[in-house]
Amino acid sequence: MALLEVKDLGVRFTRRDASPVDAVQRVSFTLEKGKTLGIVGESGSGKSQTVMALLGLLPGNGQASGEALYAGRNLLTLSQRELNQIRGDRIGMVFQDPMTSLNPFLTVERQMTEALQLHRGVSRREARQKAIEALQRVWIPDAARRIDRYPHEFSGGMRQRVTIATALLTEPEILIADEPTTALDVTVQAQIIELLRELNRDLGTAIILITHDMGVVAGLADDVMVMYAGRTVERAGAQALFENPTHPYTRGLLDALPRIDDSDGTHDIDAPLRTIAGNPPAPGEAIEGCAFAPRCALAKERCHSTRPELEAIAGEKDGWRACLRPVGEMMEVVR
Amino acid sequence: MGNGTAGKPLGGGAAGGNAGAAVGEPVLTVRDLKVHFRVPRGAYPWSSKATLRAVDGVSFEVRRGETVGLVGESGCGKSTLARAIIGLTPVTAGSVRWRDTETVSDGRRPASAMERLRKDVQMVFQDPLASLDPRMTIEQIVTEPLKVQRPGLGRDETRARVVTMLERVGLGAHHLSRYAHEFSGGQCQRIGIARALVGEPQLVICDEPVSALDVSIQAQIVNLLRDLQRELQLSLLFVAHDLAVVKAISQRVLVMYLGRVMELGTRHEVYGSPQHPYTRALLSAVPRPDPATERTRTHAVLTGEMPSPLNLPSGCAFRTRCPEAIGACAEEVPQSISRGTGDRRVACIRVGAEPVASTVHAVSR
Repeated sequence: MALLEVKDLGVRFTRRDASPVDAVQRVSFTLEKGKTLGIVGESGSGKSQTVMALLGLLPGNGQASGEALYAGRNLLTLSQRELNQIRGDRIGMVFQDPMTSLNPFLTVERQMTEALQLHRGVSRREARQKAIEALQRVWIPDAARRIDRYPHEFSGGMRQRVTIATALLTEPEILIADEPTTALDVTVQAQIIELLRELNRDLGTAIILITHDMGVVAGLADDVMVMYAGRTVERAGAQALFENPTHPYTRGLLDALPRIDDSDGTHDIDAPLRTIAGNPPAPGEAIEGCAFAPRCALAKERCHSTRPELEAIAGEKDGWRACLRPVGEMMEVVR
Repeated sequence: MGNGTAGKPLGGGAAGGNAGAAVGEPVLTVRDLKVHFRVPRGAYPWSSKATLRAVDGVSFEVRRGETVGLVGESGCGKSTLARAIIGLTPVTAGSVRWRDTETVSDGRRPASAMERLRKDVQMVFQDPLASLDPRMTIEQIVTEPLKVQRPGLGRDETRARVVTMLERVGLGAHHLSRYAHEFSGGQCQRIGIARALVGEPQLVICDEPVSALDVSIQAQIVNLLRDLQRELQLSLLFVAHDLAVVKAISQRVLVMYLGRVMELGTRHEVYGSPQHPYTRALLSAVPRPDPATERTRTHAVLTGEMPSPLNLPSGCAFRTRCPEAIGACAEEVPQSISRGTGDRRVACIRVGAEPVASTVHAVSR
């Protein structure tokens, strides 16, 4: 049974002097127990707003529509009070910048024990013990002493490990990680990826991982959802998506990546990088057909006038795509 | 991208300006450059001072018409090094030679040399929007360097050069009267590149020019820089933390850690057969966009984090995280030693050396 089922999620921002902006439109996905879903897309694609809507963290002018079923309840219609019982307890969160998501005035111990005392009603002493164990689990050396320090006394990678440890204190079923490694150096990023993989495997925590980095997704996600201009353009198992992307945008994105390894011979190092021409649409820009059509090498006339819906790919178990051009036609175009 | 739009002012001028150095000849030579900062040890300005060794004895050269990639993690000194070369940061010791002029000798900068440097060397910055003046039109932004460096040019000639340059980077004359905020990040970076190149510099230092951009835009800018570099026979010093981007654009690569050069070699050498343990760890840490490889390959995950540059470990700066460190690594700073052909250099006593005799003294702190 699906742990989280999102149907037709939309996020609309009203603006004082202009027409409203639909940041997210008709996004649907399911998250299974213990699985990792990667949501990828470039800035402005709506990937962060999708999870902010689930957590009830949209700014005041944002309105979510649709349905997000978790344990039989629609997260989008819950009151703040009801949400508070779920957020930080059953659903944990980790954000991009660990310095801004930790309170600089409180010791790490205080911020960590707060969640346990609030959600579990345990004593401070017991909470402290659990917090120390959680820090040890995320490889913080000398945790029993370090826990009394303030966030600024930790390095960036350590801080992110503290936020992950805090999110995991209540043993959530779902961990939402929004660009968890983007602010970190590559060797530290590798440590955090390893840590998330271990937690997913050992504790069975399901993860929604939001990132722009295709490499991070490849290493962690079971399923991948690719977003462009607020909509899902493709959703498939990680292996299938990377080996056989069926949407021109996904393919363009993978082709545009500079590669470290070029052992398969498909990426000639002396050739220029493949690019996607043009720029993504501005937020609020009226789009009639496919949002990617102006940049798409395969676009036909109707792509500019008819909006493609997300449809199951014939013959694929879990593959979905939103493109008017048949998969077969797309494959014919030489990469 | 509109190729071949480079008209007379671009191609002709650059060839004239570059006369005197053949392709492949060193134009920029950096010798034992040091940039140290005195910073307060504690939280207050009056706390006792410590020395932060941001760049600590770096030597390399850039040849005419080549791209040198400078990689490393944050805090390794790569940006400070770039800024020191162009004169935006005071230097402590060492020398920098630009063509036939010593722009830094013995840690000092002669003022006359700076004038020469400003004309020949330009910079492209990381944040494209922040590096453009919000109150200037695109025409004013791209014209300004010409006014300073080529004061003799007439108005029509200046304008023609600006338009040619903008077209070359993929913008048009209709953008001239617009302001920076009207452009996307990728377009702003194109403007930044136009501003750097309009005065026909011979060396362009790019400090993380694509790290603020989305992948699809990043590829456009990397290609643009590659094309311009070949067309104008520019030398590029490309500073970035993204190893894949550096690989896509560089002929030679310099790997830095805590202010020192760990490894230097051609792209094929550094990426194909990295010798320094740090280079190997760095390359291994980059996640590959391919689930099959990513899940099967062994990840050599480095433990710990970069030590504070205020308190460098003795000997090799990397030894505290190095999986191959031995006692002798703490003894002295490893020399950059030539390995193999060309000017490949590796600063590690464990590479290609005989097994170290264990008659060493106790490891100092």
